[in-house]
Order: sequence, then structure tokens, then C-alpha cells
Amino acid sequence: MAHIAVLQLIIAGSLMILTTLTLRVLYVLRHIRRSNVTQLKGKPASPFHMVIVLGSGGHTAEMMSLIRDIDPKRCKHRTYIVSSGDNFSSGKALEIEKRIQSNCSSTNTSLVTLEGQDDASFGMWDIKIVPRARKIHQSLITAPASSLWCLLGCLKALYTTARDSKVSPGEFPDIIVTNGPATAVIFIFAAILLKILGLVPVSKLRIIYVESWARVVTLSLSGKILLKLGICEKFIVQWEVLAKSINGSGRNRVEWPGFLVE
Amino acid sequence: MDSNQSGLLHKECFVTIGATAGFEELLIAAVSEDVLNTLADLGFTDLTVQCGTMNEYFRKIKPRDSKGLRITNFDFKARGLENEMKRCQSRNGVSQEGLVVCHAGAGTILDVMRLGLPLVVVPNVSLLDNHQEELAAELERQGYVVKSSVSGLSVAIKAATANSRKSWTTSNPKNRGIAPIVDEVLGHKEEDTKFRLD
Repeated sequence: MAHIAVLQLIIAGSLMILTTLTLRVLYVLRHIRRSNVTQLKGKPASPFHMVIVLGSGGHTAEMMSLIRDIDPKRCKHRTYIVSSGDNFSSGKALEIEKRIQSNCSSTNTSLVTLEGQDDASFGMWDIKIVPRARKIHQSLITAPASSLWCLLGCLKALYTTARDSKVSPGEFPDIIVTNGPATAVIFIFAAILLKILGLVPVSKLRIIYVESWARVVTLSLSGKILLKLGICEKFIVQWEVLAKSINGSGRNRVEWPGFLVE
Repeated sequence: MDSNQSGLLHKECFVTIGATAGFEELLIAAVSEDVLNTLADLGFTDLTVQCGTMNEYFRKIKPRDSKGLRITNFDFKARGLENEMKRCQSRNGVSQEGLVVCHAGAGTILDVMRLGLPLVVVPNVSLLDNHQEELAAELERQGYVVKSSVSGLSVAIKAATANSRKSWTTSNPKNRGIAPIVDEVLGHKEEDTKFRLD
């Protein structure tokens, strides 16, 4: 008899958790979609914290171009996420910073602040390392263990990023930007997981996904997964052909602002 | 020495196959008699070939009769290929506008278009990744580059140097990367707060 009572309790408990979780997921997703269609009003002036997920060579080079006009005076804290062992991207983070900082300094364009250095005019930038989601030629599906390890690494990175925030210590970043390396998908999963569990307010960690300029007719695997799940506040493609084939005549699932790379 | 033989200005064709995958067919086509004759006819003085992992192979297939062109090759440049590409630009009294022939890597294509050079894109069909082919096709349709197969290279070179092309740098004057999009997304936040306060 005791067995059955325990079993009933477990079933009832699971059902409650499942219901709560479903409602929470629906709430989070609704919030993400609603902000998709809301119209912009005025330019916000408050400082913000942005996370940039870097990937392999091509993705990182493109990201450098995408964020070239970010104003470091307002985006006071820039955190770059790099996969372990990717020295190329770590080096590129410094190059990206050179570019961003030279935009708003009239003199000494070659000077750049160091990682972790808090500067009065350029704010701060830092790098967080996460475990590799997959090795080259290893698919997301055949790599559950390394993906799980990466997910844990991303959760940790999100917490240390919040802890180190120069905009508001302890608060999670406002924006996540990525253009589709495998690590980015896991990083976004980690962010959404925290939102669903209610550990991060839905107004934080807003996700901007920019599909690579190289994708003209079809989305990348990362893009397909993220669009299907509908977990990005902004989903951008850079080719009209691609935007038309996804949106069809129906609702605007993706936006096409023209070329964003230069 | 060669470049001043006929009193011509330096005019360079730069061929790049990328750093990761080999592209044997493009290397063979680049020094084929057909292509060398075409380049010589168009007044080219130099042909530089970036061979990546196939530098040794290129040394073997480099023809003895170069049709008066100076042919040089190398494997990689740690600092990128910007200098090689810039040598193809026209400079007053020094060089005439040349040409770049490249594999369909997105980064390389952007680098060339940013410099405003004539460009022939040859997708590597042996790679299964066919989105490079689609990129090249759409860029050609919009008039930025000339897409070519390995066998049609000399015809494509004539077309790319003769036709006017669309300028990439002025293609989207409003282009400020994602900066305005970030503003827009942050804007929602302020509105949401107001919404809640009401």
C-alpha cells in the first residue's frame, strides 16, 4: 500500500512540475515572439552589456564586420565567448576591440584597452572560454556527451559573466549576438534554460541571430534549429532570396535588412 | 624585367584556392595554355598563385612556356592575402587594374569585393558543401562577380575584365552592421517597462 501511495505522489508531483514547466515555456516563448513584433520607440541611452559568441575562422571574421559600429561608450561591457583551444578567435577579439574603439577615438587609433581593463570611455571587454560543442566533422547528434559538457560550461560562463558585469554587477547581460557556430546553439540553449527556470528575467539575455552572409538559399544547421524553436528575439538573414523562401507570403519569421557585412 | 619589356605597366592576376581544401583543377586551369594566352592578350604581366597545401604540386605543373607572364606561387600568408590583392589594384604610373580568381569562400570573396577588383569565382564542385555554389551564383546574378567553372576560366576572365560590375562598397549605404538592430532590441525593453508600469 505504501508503494502505491508513493507512486501516486510521484505521479501527481511530476504532473504539477510538467504543467508548471509547460506554462513557463509558453510564457517565455510568448515574450520572445511579442518583442519580435513590437515597434521601436526612441533610442535607449542607458549603458548595456552584450555577449558576442565567436566561432571558427569564417564566423569570427564575419562577426568582426557585423559589430563594427557598436558604440563602446554605450555598450559598456562586451563579453566574447570563445571555444577552448580556439586561439584564432581569442586573437580576433582583440582585433574586434581595436576596430570598435578606434571608431570613437579621434587620436591614437592603434591604442586599445586590455582584456579586463575598465576604461572610462571604452568600458570593458573580456573573454570567457567554454568547452568545444563538437569537433570538426562531428555532428551535434552524435556528440551528446560533449554537448552536455559544453552546456554546463555555457551555464557557468553565463553566471561568471553576470558576476563580472561592469554595467550592473550580478545582473545578466542584455544582449547575446551570434552568427551561428555550433557553440552558439548550446550557449543559447543555456540562456533559454535559465529563463525557463526563472533564474534570469525574460527582459535579459535577448538573442540576436544573424545568419552568415555565405547562406543564400538555405539556413545553416544552427539557423534551422534556432528558427524552428523560435527562441531568438531577432532572426536576421542577409539575402532577400533566403528571406522570401522562409517567410513566403505568411508571417515574418525572419528579417532581411540587406547586407550587414561590409 | 619582364614587366618592362614591352613598356607595359604592371598588371597582375592573383589566383587563390584558399587555405583549407585543395583545389587541383583550378591550379591546372590557371596555368593552362588557354588561360595564359588570354592573360597575355589582355596585357597581364604577372600571375601569382596561392596554392595552400598544394604548393609542391603546383611547382610540378608550372609550365615552361609562361607566354611572357611572370608566374610566382606561395602556400600561405599568415597575415592574410590583402597585400597580394592590393597588387592587383590600379595605381597611377605603377600598375593597371588586374583581376582576382578565387574559390567560393565567403571571406575571400568579401575581401576582393571590398577592394573593388574584378573577380572570377570558381566554386569547388568536389566539395559537398553546395552553399558556396549558391553564393557565387547569386552574386553573379546581381552583377558583383563572374562565376565560372574550371573549364570556362578563360572566357570568364575576358568577361570579368571587360564588363563593368556592381560596386560592393556602395551596395547598402544604410549598412551599419548590427548596431541599429541592437538598438531596436534594447528599445523593446524600455517599452516593456512602460507597458508594465501602466
